[in-house]
Amino acid sequence: MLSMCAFIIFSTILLLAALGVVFSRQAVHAALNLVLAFFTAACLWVMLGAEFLGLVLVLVYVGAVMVLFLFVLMMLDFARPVEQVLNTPDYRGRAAFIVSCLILEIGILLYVKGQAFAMSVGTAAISSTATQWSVQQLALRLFNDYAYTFEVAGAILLFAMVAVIGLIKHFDRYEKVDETTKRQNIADQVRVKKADRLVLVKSS
Amino acid sequence: MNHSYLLIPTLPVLGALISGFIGRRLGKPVTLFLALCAMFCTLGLSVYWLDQINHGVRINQDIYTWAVFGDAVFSVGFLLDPLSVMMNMVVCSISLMVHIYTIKYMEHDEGFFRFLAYISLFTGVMLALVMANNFLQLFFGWEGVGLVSYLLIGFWYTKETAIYANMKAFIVNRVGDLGFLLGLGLLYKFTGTLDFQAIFNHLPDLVKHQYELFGFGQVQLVSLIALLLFIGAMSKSAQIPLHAWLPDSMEGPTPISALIHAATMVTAGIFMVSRFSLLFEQSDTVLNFMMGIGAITAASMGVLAIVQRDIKRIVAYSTLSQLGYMTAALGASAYRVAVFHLLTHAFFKALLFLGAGAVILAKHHEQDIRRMGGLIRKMPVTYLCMLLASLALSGIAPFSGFFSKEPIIEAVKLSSQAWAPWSYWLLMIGVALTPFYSFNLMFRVFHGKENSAVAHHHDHHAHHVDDHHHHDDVAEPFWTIKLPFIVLAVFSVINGVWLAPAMLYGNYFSSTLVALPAHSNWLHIVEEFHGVADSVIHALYAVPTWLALGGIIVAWVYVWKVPHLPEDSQTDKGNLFVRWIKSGYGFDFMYKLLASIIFSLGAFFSSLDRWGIDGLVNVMPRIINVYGQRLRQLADGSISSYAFFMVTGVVLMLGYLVYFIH
Amino acid sequence: MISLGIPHYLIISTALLVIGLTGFLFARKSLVVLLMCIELVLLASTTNFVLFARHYADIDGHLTVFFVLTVAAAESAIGLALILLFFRKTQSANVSAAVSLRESA
Repeated sequence: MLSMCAFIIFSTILLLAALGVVFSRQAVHAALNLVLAFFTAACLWVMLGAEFLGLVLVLVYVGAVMVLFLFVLMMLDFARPVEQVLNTPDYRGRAAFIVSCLILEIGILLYVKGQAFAMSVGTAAISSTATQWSVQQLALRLFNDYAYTFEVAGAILLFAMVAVIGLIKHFDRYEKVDETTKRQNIADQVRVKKADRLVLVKSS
Repeated sequence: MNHSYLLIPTLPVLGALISGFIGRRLGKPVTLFLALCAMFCTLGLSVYWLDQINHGVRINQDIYTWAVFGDAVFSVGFLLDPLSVMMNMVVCSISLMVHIYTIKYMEHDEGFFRFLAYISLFTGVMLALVMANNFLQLFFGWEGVGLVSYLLIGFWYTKETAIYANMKAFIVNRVGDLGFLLGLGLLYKFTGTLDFQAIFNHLPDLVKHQYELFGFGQVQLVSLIALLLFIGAMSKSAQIPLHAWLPDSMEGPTPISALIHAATMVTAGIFMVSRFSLLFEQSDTVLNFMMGIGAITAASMGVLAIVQRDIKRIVAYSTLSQLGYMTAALGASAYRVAVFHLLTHAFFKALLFLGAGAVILAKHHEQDIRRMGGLIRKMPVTYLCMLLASLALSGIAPFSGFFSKEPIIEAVKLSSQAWAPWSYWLLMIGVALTPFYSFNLMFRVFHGKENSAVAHHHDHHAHHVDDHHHHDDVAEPFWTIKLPFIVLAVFSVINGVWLAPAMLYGNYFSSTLVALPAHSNWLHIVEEFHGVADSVIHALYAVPTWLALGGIIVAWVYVWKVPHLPEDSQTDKGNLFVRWIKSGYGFDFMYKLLASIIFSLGAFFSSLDRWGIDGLVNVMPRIINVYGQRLRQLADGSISSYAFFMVTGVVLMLGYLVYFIH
Repeated sequence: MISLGIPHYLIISTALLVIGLTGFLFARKSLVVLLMCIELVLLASTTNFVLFARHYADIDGHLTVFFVLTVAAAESAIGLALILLFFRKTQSANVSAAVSLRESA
């Protein structure tokens, strides 16, 4: 009973937030709506027994990725009016059709396959002898069976970081700099030696 | 055992390479010296090997394996036996004479080195042909001489008529080669080898085979092979109907007419048939056919020789006629007689051609005998030599031609082949005609009044030696031109007396030229031979001699009665019959007709290709183009369209899944 | 009361998916919103994973979510970097402005 109520509340907020993302006038509003959506999704996940993942969702996804989004949104100046609206062909009609096709297909799939789950409303329940998984179990699984995948994921993040820096950083702007502005020269930073940074002082 | 015979074909080829590639740099004297050295050495080696063969040495050696295809082995091999060394001697000596002749005759031509290279090359290839011990090498030589003949006929390649002539020669030869190749193919199929000796060993089996020839039912395999091979010989040795190329081959320089079209290349066909006497003997049909064709050629070409005005063409038709004699002799199974006539004919015909060349040169490239006359005073030696040659050609005893022509006529008369009777009459007609046209030429060119008409320099002279000195410049030619005359004349005279006893009536060819007993009626002659002197005396009361003498007398009378032949052009005077004869029995016309049919066929297919096939091939790119244009518009660079397509893809995949599940 | 079951969660994730896709296809105003809608779609799929991990009692579902989150983060970062670059070039983050791949004809 309680879970049902919780579910309804969370799911409603989630869907409304999602709609808000799509239909907001301002981009920042959309971002904040997305944050809300993630929060509620995290709650739903906790209800599904994935506590750790819910936490990860909030910490990583909201805390890092959405913050990144907001950074970028802040940097871009959307107040400037769009100079020319080039007439791109309008795909919205076709898009609506495709989306309805998609809904239809998913509906059919779920209905047909749903028999296998015995998924007619009401009969399937998530067993309350829910699997209680701990972080430890997750970690054991991760580092034993999925160690390679883990490393690859790390590598992906590394590459993404390098790629972003490589894309964004103005590597060519070092010449026309006035002395007051502080900038980073990554190449120099990487080449730094102990002698550049550490000065040992003898104390008497 | 030494392999010095390998040098026989290679030395001339080496000489050819030197002349052709570095001749210009070495200069005329050096090049000529080297080329002549090569020829002398080759001749010397030929003499040496002749001697060896006479002492009983025989060589049948595969020298070098050229290719191996599964079970088939093709190699380069040499066969030295009486027949091939005799041919060697003929080729080498005539070639040497022509080389010497070339020194002066072609000295002003800017293609001198090329010419020298070609004639040396020709000699080498012909020798390779003659000494071959398998069909592959023979065919190589066959094609090779055809090629060099083409190159030489079209030597002055800027002349349109020369190009026409050399294409004609090559193409007509090709027709014969087709027959030859078909014959070779059949031989190979049924014997699995191209080696001469092996084929001879297989002959007893071959005789039993029947072959299904489409449309004609079952034929004797041996007959078919023999016929096909003979077709090759027909084109090479210019028998009717594949003779059309030889008169036109006079477009080339005179030395080559002497070398190729009198003495050597055209005899390749005769040689090949003789080499395969064993094979041809198995087929009466083909022997009969050969005799008939030979006789027809002999007579009809003789008729044509009468109506010619160009000095070289007269000799050319004479060659055709004599080749007909040789072929008829082959048909009568008198192989050694044919080969002997080949030998004697080579010498006196080459002499006639070279002499004609000297006359032409002396008259500053005038080739029309109507514009000549009285040259006997200015060129006595030339006259004498040509006279001897003409006498030999006419078959007057004791010159060489008598010893070779008489037996042919006898052989045909005695032959048991079906067509022998009328072939004999045709040959007799030839015997009457030959002296007539030969002496017609002699009398008109050398006797009578001197003709001061100078050549109007028709455009069929490519030489542009522009000294228009007139008739007072006619002189005896240079000694390098006279020398070959004298040598050849000597041989024309003595060949018969010297060689006939051994070659014809002796055992010289017994091991190589074989005839079946049924066909060997002519050996009757051999029995009747009581020595050279006896033959000569016998000749005095033989019909052919009287016919020959009669021909000479008629010629004399004709020249006396009609001293100046009318200045008509070759073909458009006279009624239809005369015109038909003058145009060479209309063969050229028929060939042109055939060619035009094929050309129009080619044009039809060409347009089919351009419109049909290209059109079809172009349809595809055009379709791709049209649709490509449309497709291209999809990639319009807008993100929303890309997004749309991405999602559509996913939806389609899902749709497939749905379908699958259902 | 009907007990909470798979269908409920499935409907939620499907709805999320559809909303996300709609936003993705109908983006006009801002490129960043486009990326955010992609995040929504990813959220839908990860929710599905969590759901079925629970249903089949297989922890691999959670791990999949883990990796998906990782890659999604990386992808968002790079996408935002590209948007930044684009903005520098064209001074506009409008979707309609991103048409430089179009041929001029």
